[in-house]
Amino acid sequence: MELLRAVGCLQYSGSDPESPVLEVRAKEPLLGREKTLTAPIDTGFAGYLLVPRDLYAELGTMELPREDFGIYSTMAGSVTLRRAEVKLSVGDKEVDTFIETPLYGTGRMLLGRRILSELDLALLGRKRMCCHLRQAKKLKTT
Amino acid sequence: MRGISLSKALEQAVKAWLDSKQENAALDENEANNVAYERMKDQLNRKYRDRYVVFGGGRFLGSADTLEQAGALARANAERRALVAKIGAKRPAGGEWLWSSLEL
Repeated sequence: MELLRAVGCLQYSGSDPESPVLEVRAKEPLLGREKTLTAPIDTGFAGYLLVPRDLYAELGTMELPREDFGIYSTMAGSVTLRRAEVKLSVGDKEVDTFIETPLYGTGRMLLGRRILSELDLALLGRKRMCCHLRQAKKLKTT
Repeated sequence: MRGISLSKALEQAVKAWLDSKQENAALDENEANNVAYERMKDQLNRKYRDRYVVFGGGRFLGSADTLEQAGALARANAERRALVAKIGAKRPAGGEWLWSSLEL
């Protein structure tokens, strides 16, 4: 296993118990508007970056056709999410990905597994910190 | 009521009405773009494989190699919203949503 270093840590936030969060910068490709967002990470959500409806109205300027909307299965039945193209910067990574919002309902902010699986992260639970991981320089052995 | 003044309540009601009006207009345009896309789908699959196709105002605006060019194409047509599809690209359909954050 390689040696990794935790960098760019962000304090957990939200209601007790607090959630691990990441700062992401989302840029919509039509008018170039950008927003910096603090999104709770959610390993239970298979999707991309879920955002509230009002934020989607602002950033979801290039929406996919209805047939490409995501349909997620939950214990309460299926939920359809609208989907739009967005450029996302997380840590030192920039990815072309999607934002999503419910077809019905107001939505909320969540970073799902399709984006999390592109990142190397560490949760320092006792310190309440979510950190990016970078390869550390090799230790000198004598 | 909720401990707010009548003028504040009126202001909030007007804002909610304007927001819903804007949202309805956006939904109408979205619907028109989807109808136009569905109508041209066979042709798009034949002619624009691996390219981004862009629809705005209920009509086909053109195709582009990259997402940035697709955005520029919509902007050049004075669109503030557009439908974009990469023809032939495999999009994940969705997946499982565990019980963690369901509060829609």
